[in-house]
Amino acid sequence: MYVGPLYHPEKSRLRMADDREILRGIWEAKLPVSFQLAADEVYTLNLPEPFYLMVPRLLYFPLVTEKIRKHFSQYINPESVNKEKEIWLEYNGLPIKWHYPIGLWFDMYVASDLTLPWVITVHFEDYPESQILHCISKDIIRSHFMSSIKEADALKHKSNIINTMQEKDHHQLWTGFQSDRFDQFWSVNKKLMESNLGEGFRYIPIRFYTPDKPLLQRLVKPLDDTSGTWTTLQDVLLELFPGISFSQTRVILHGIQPPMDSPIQWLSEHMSYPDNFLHIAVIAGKANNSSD
Amino acid sequence: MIEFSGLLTWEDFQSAISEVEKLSRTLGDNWGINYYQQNTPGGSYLSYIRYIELENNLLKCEYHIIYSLSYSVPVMYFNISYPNGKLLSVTEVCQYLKKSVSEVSQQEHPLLQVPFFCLHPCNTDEIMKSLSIAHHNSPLKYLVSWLSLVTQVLNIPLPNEYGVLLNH
Repeated sequence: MYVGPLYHPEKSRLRMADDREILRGIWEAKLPVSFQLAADEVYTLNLPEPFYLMVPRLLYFPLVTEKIRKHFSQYINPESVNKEKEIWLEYNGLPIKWHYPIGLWFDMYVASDLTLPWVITVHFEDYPESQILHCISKDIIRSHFMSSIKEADALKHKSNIINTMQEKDHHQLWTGFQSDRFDQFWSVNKKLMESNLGEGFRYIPIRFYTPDKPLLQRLVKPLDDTSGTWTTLQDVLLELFPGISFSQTRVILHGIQPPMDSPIQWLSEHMSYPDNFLHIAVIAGKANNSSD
Repeated sequence: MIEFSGLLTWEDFQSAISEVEKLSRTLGDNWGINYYQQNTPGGSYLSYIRYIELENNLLKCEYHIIYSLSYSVPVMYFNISYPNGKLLSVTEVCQYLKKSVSEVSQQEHPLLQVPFFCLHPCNTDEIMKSLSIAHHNSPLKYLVSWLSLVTQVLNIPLPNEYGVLLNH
């Protein structure tokens, strides 16, 4: 995927239309997943087949797993408290945090393994509630999604834009997002991406994720105070990861390694997840050559 | 410096929780600072543990007051657990606190990265602004005013001695 290296802040609003291809590409990206029922939870004599699904990178797992839960519930112990149980997902012994966008989790833990389809184990028993949040209804997902959007706008605009939007606009963000309606979503989301020409956002909503390390979120300004130049991804990494070795680290966003000279303002406007945050995986290990 | 913005800086938050911890010690109370990620903005928090009796169960309640860099306000995170360590569910917490799901939600603790409950911070600045006369220019007064509000919401006892700080 081509990420434009030149950023013309004066023309940023005009460029939005040109960059629609990028927005669309990110929106439509999917991952091949093979869901398998945990071997020790299979109760029936006939073993269940894996359930294959192309899952959108931008969604959250509970939005796509209802049919998977229904499918596998035929094979578990019918004495099990009830079949409306919350399932939980696991990859390589690690419970999957459903509140992370699917693509982020993949970038963090699966990309290095280089095997597709992504094999995920489905569990009905022993919900690891000390490690992952419960998700008993769609409202929980909506609430989490809207919380992120609100926090992102608090950073970008002191909440001015999100707070002056009507409830129907908030609703449209959610419905557009979860029912795969790109135009419906972006007709509202574009307002959250506005900024004064030459200024950018107040702070960039951005989080860095390293496996087995605490999440990193700091206040990041899009414009350098002293030099007046646009802060690049490289600038941010050098500040937040002192001593980072770029040749020994992979920085992954939506499955690609963005050019280090990308202005963080541009990345925020064009490559944020629908929750308006840039969720970037930072992984130690030899850099890949490909960036697509 | 707190103007009538309803907001608090990280530095002011740090000094305020220090003062609260000091007072707590002299009172023999339980508030303490956890320097989880020292030298990191938002990396230290004020914590409090107590036990409550509910329907023949002794529940452990853990409260963390964490600074939100995004909202520039303190945020209350908490967990309530049974003696065997099992956490109370969303429904049980809402029942106990007599709150709705929209006011209290399960979130990932920003520092510990495990599930906690959280009182939504989005309206804190408005509420604090309306109390501004009580805490004008004092981070400590801001925090204590805020504490007196959230401790009421969560049924945490806050001795009058803390309120005295508001009158200095």
